[in-house]
Amino acid sequence: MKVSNVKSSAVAPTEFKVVDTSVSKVDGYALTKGKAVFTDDFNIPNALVVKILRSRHAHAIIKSIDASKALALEGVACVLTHEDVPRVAYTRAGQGYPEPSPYDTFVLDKKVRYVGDAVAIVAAETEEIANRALDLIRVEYEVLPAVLDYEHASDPEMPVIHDEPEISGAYDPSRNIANHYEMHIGDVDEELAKSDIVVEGTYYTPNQSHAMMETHVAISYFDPNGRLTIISSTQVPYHVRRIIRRIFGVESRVIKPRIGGGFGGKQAVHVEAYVTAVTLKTGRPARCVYTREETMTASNTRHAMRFKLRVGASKDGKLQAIDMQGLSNTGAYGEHALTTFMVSGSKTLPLYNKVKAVRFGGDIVYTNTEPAGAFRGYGAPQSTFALDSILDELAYKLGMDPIDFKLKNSIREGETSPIFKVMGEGREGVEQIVQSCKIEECALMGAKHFNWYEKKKRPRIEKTKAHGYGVAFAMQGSSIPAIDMGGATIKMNDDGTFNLMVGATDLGTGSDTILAQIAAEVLHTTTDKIIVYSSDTDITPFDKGAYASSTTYVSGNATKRAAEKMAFEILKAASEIMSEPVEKLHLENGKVISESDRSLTYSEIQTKLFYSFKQRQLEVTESFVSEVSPPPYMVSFAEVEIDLETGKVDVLNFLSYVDCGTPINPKLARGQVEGATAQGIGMALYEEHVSDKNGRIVTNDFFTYKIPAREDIKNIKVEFAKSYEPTGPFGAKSVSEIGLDTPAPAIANAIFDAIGVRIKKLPIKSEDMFFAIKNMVKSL
Amino acid sequence: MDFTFITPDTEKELKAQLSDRGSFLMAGGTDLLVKVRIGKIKPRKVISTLKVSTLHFLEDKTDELVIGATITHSELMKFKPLTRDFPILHDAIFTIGSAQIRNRGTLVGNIVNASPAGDGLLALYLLNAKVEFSDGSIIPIEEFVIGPGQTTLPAGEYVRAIHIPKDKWDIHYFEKVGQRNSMTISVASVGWLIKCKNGVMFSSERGGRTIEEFRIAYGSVAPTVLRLRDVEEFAKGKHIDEEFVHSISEMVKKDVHPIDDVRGSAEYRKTLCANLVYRMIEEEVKC
Ligand SMILES: Cc1cc2nc3c(=O)[nH]c(=O)nc-3n(C[C@H](O)[C@H](O)[C@H](O)COP(=O)(O)OP(=O)(O)OC[C@H]3O[C@@H](n4cnc5c(N)ncnc54)[C@H](O)[C@@H]3O)c2cc1C
Repeated sequence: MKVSNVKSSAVAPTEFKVVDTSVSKVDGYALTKGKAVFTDDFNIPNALVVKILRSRHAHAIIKSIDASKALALEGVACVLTHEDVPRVAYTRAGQGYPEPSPYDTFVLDKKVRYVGDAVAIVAAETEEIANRALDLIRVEYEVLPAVLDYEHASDPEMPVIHDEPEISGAYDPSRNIANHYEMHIGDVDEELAKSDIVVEGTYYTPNQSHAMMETHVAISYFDPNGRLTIISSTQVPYHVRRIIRRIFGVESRVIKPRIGGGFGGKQAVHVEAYVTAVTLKTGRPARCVYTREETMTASNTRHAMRFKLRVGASKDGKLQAIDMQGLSNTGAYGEHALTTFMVSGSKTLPLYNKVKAVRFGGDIVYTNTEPAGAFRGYGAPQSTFALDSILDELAYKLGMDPIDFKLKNSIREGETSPIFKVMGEGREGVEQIVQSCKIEECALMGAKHFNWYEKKKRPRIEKTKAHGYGVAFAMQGSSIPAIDMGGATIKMNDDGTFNLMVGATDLGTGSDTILAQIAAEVLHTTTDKIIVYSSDTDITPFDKGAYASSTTYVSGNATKRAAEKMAFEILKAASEIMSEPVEKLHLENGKVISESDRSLTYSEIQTKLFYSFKQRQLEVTESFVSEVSPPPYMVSFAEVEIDLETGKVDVLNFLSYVDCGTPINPKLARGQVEGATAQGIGMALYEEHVSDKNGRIVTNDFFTYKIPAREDIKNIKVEFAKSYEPTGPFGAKSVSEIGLDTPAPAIANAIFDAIGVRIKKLPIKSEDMFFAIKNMVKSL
Repeated sequence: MDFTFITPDTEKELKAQLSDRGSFLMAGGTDLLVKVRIGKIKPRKVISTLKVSTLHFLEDKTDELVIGATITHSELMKFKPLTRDFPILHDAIFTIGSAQIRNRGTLVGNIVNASPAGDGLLALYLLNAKVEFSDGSIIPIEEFVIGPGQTTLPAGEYVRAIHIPKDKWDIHYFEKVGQRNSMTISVASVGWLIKCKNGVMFSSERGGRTIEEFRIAYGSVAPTVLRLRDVEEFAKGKHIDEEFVHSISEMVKKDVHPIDDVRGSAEYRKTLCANLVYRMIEEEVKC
């Protein structure tokens, strides 16, 4: 197979000055000082407050809306219903164009499809008036039977959720199937029949809320020249601009300020359409800040999934075949439906490339529940839970240590998997040979740091406590190859600083910082000399946005290219000023130095170019589109303690050994893995949507919806393997999502190790553990 | 959510302010503000007790500890005599919310809130604490709380202090089971106090020591914190052994009446309560 032709970087890993060091975040000071940085901190005078009237029914047709009383209230500027907004079908998903998600959404529709669906948009002078107006709107509904259980969504006789004629891109809306996917390599049934040991199992992963601290917020207004401007807490400003134009036919500028977390929840158009509708209608600025309840119940959630798995191996521990049949709940709308499901396969199956046959497929179904969307890991945490759990079981049945078994069957440097080509995101993928893969180091060094073999000698049950040890393997990707593009512009200033303009969207991840580090490394200067402006669609070059673990890889490569071009422009200018050939010059410490030891500072060069010598502004723009998506790898180890009298599970120790290539900023990379681990522990043990029988989510605040707190995540350790990805900027791959893949399987495997019970449904609640333990004791 | 906020300096002013309808008292606000925010309470006036200096006191008398109305959980935990004389109360309030919540929340707020999951409340039930009203009357805690959020505090009065009689206990135990480890509302909680005839012994020893006095209470399993008098009576004169724990475990199952909710099913909570008494044999000291 042919190796991708991306040029490998010339710099060897040891020569870094700025990269691979933990410089402070460029926005750290402003944040700790509580400066005005977030969308809601923008004080746009005279802005109307926008509130959304939401459906109390899971499935209903709106027969009439009477807003006369609300409109009569002093201070109400407008009430918009489905009759007042363009009827354009679109997808909320912010992804490459044309989107692989079905066009099944309207700003407002005459049908509501889940409890929380938008019915009307209200704009008023104050929040209080807007809330009063909501109470005064009378809506007459024809209530329809609802589809609440996704396992029965496409049963015959089920009500049809999307019967609108405008829908496009959905697989079979008449059976509530948003998308369908299937693939196979080799003959799975035959290989399973030939296997010495076959294990089967069905695994469930629940909905999960992003629980980012900042809720969804957007402000829209006409600037003095009449250009529509939208300030939004979005991960995808360029997609927002494109989708807003599709809906309203209006051109706009989208600005993303500092975001208070997104985790994929903001990879969609939520609030922007509502404020835009109000500004277009009234001509006035409009501001909408989602409440926590709206963010929890009426934005996006992680797709709940079910996987039925069959795996087979020979007696000597060779994995022969994997058969993975999934079912995914996309809720009321299909944003990210197909792509998350495909990622469930494409970001897990290549890890075990030694198999003779693989089959993957299933439906993504509509239900009358909160729409699912993008969420850190994007389908991979769900499938990794299933796949890694069943491989652990297989190893157990083979009498092998799970580390040995998984290592024996996993991918290595220089190898490939046919799945890379077969499965992409929403379409075919690309061929790639793995050029960096330290999974062996991750497993062996991880086991050593964790003390795996020593720990395993401890008795599992001591009095009323059981201890267990689990391991999980994971991979992810770095960007969506052949789709994701990012641009970077670098402009040199006469004070020796540079402006780095990127469309890349820092959502708290620290991408502004690491992109500055990459530019500083190339330009032989320090990070404080790189002034970053990001995510303003009128000013910065295009970038696909913050998702798919792509920013470091794609935007980082774009930044590196731009910086390299700028370095060349500087050398060229210096050569002209100094009358020395370019070959005799080099960059060092913010200066150009010649072989004859003459030097010019960057400031001197640009000042000359401004005022007195061959006058020009040095500025360059470069773009990068990924041709491959080099996977990061990770092996995690969990130690759990189970209280046999209460069923409570505590994760005492959690160690992850990660191959993310060069960590551009080790402290931030570690933070990414730690944060993802915490979210993974939440998914494993605490987080789920509890709904009442009418489909209303009861867990709609942090009082009822429990994310792990500090006491629940005890001791998390993160180590990095020495790794260098030749196609990445300075050897870097991604690190932002992979950390969420391993906690659930590692914890479930550890529970099995402790008490011999396989938990196949998340979250693993104390109560379920308690009864599992009771049943186990009974059957002894 | 518009209301007036007042901070009287004296008890006299405080009392005068209380006569208005729609006024609510607030100490740390960690219960009250949550209720205001979700619209369960719509106050016209909120009166803070925090500036009233005569309510901010801790009095360590020979026969009792008196805790003023504005003493926070954190202040109480730092008060040395508490760990010495009332370790059960210390252990219980140590589990309340998080450090931030304990820095704001008060013990008086915890009892007036009268939640069946109130951790401070559970310890006070075990300790036979008494509640002092502004009119000078003092009543037992079990007569003070009558249901979730309901107390016998007369209108126009406030709670001045909590009195806890001093008593020596050989064994004390508190545990709260929740899905998470902090910032959690319990699925069930339990506490007990045991006095042994002729002192305690360690697990390894054998001897003729028996239970002289026994108190046990559960939280989150009934409309109020529940003292199990039948178990307490039964325990007198018994040894803490498998057989004893098994018997009281059966009694517990009958006594508690939990409900199904987001935190757990009634069946889980009932069985859990019965199981929790087995902790007694796992503890180092027994009688
Ligand atoms: C995140 C979080 C976690 C929590 N975790 C726990 C927990 O683990 N365990 C637990 O038990 N509780 C918990 N609580 C509840 C609460 O923190 C405690 O009940 C606390 O002790 C209340 O004290 P406060 O001073 O804040 O009460 P406030 O909210 O100020 O008052 C509570 C009630 O008492 C009334 N009141 C206050 N002072 C007086 C007075 N002098 N006389 C008469 N009435 C008065 C108020 O009007 C109000 O009705 C938690 C709360 C939060 C927000």
